[in-house]
Amino acid sequence: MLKILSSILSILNSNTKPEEVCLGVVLGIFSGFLVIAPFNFVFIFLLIVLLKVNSGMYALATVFFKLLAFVIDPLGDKLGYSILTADFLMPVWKWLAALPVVPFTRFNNTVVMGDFIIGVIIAPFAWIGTSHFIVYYRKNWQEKLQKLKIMQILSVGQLIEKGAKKS
Amino acid sequence: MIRKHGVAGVSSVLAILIVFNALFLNKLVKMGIVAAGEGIFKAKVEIGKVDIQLLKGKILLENMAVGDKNHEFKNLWEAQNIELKFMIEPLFKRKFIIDNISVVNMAMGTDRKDSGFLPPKKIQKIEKQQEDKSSAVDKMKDNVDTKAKTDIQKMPVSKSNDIGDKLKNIDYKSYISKDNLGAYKAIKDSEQNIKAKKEKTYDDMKNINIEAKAKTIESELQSAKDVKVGGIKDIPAAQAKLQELGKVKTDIDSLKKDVDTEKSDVQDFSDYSKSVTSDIEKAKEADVQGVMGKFNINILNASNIEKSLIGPIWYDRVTKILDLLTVVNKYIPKSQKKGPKQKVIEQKRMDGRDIVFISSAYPTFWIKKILLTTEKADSSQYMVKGEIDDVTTEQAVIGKPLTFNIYAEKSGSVMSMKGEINHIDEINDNITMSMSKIPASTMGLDKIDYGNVKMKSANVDTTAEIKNTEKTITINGNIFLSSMQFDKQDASDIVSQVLKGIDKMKIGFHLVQKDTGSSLSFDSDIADRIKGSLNKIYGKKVAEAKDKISKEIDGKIKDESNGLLKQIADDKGDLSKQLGADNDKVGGLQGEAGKAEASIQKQIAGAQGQGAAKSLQNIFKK
Repeated sequence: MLKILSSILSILNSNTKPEEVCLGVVLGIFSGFLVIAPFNFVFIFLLIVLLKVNSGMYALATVFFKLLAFVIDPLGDKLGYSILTADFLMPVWKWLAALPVVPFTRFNNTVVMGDFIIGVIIAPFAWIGTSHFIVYYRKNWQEKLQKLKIMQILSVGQLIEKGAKKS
Repeated sequence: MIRKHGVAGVSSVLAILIVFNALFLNKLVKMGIVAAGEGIFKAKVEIGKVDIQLLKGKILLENMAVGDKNHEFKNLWEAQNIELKFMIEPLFKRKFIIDNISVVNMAMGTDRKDSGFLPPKKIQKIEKQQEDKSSAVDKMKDNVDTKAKTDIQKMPVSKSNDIGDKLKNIDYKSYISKDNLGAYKAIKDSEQNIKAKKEKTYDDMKNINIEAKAKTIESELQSAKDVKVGGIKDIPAAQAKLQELGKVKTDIDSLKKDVDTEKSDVQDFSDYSKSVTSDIEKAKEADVQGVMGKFNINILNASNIEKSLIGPIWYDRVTKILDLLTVVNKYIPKSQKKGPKQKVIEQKRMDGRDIVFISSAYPTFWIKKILLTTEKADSSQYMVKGEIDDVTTEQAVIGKPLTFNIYAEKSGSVMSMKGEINHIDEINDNITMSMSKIPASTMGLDKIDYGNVKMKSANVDTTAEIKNTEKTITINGNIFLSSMQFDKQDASDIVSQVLKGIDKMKIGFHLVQKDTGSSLSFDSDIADRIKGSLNKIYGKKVAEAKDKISKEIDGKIKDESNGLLKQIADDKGDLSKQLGADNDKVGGLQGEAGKAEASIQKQIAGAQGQGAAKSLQNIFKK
């Protein structure tokens, strides 16, 4: 737990651009939700390689949203089923199913589709929320927190860990 | 937002993926087939070699073996060579379309060196994916399992020696009380009845009054005896006496009839006394049965033995059929209407459901044709021949049902299966299975745990007709077992003794599962034979016990019984004595009457002779 907290503080305290952290969180959402289709995972991984993404935040978000997926999967199943079997959307799904590569996303799976929709809904809020939080943190809390003994201990701990890894 | 070296990174990742797939594609596909096969067959799936020729659209599998989930060291089937020819273009749309599969030298029920069972954890994982158990097949499975739990039990153990010992050690005296014996009561009742009957018979004899009648006749006879014919002049009086004597003889005949009536009465008494002894015997038999009923002897029930014997056999057949229907229902779901014109197919997955949209495109998976051929003549294995057409997970897409006609033979033993799996719009499956002259070992019947007995060998002939619709399943079939032999375990075991006399049997199974309920019936033709054998076996031991009880009862009622017998004998003696005396008397009278008649006739003849001589003398004197 301390390690995770330490990682988050390290990301927040670094000079990483807020957008990179936000993109990490958003991609982590989809990675955590859509990991049941290996193709999706590979696709997101390629995006991480291609785009400037804070990989630490991506990893943390992936773990968090994967755990969250266990809870929201039943909801995703119902939501996905409603969308995939909606009469008016049927031509769209048939068209997508006939395209090359697209079926590998397993968009026709109720959980994949439902979780994807939930991800799409969550993503803008996650982006805006993360972005605002980082700006607010760096402006108001960063200096105060760094003076706290616990933060100094965590910082020393991090330095020791890094030193140990280097040696 | 784009990394400077991002494109290079992506290219590197893709290159690594391509190289990895190229190097390990065979292994990956092998793992995929094994995992899919194990999911379907719930047993180990092994493949010797996989060779994928992507550009040629060909996959070659060598030495593929699928374990039998019911028999640890047997394969369900194994095949030497399998060649798949698939279409390349649909692969880009995540569709695997196989034009044909050629299976060469496929053998069924082959032996395995190692276990073909999957680890329990793996089985649990597979079954977890198939948790939904709402179909008619699942309901029937549950009902069959429930029926099996109550019907299929190990053979009861009951040794004839044990019964003999138990009966030998029983303290019979403690079960027998004189006052409670029906035989004792019957004797007491009989004593009274015999006494009354004897008195009545005796009175009837007395009422005939032969003595008095005889005295009258005797005096009449005396006057006839006194007749003296001195000459011709006495002849008319003598002749008149003869006529009187005729009347006396009629009286004697009447008396003789009275004696016959007495004889009949005495005979009635004798018959009655015999019936009394018979009634007492019956009462004693009832007493013996009553006492036997008080012993807690494990007398085996024929019906239980029948159920235990046939249970595992029908269960094996029926569960195999239901397993087949489960696979068929799981992997070939029917289409469902969504909206006024739209239809989709739902396929359950570990996570959620895949929705397949029905269009003119290919289904996700389709084997157009599987051809099974044999190239080697191997009389030691069931070599499979036949054809399977249109194996797909989405029949509504291709609009065709799955059809199959498979045949396996091994030196005279034949297995065949043909039918149609139609899940296009509604579920409508028809399957016919038959087997003939299959050794019990091939079907695993020799491994059935009957407890104390084991089936050593048998020939099995079986047929089954299966009709499966979404809401109703009907399974009708027969299993004929001939040349049955059971291992001789313990000669004193009663079940062993019973089964020794059974070398063939016919089992029928009739199962119907509907929305409204189920009907499962299993029958056989061996119940009566088991019953007969049990009676034969128990007869000897029970007869010995009955004999002991009977003797004990005899001892208890000995005095009363002897008293009654003596009473009967005495009464019979009295009546016979009286009858004898009356009979002698009448006989004597008959003799006397005859003599008197003869004497008178002789005298008349003499007188007539003398009279004639005198007349002749007078003629010559003149």
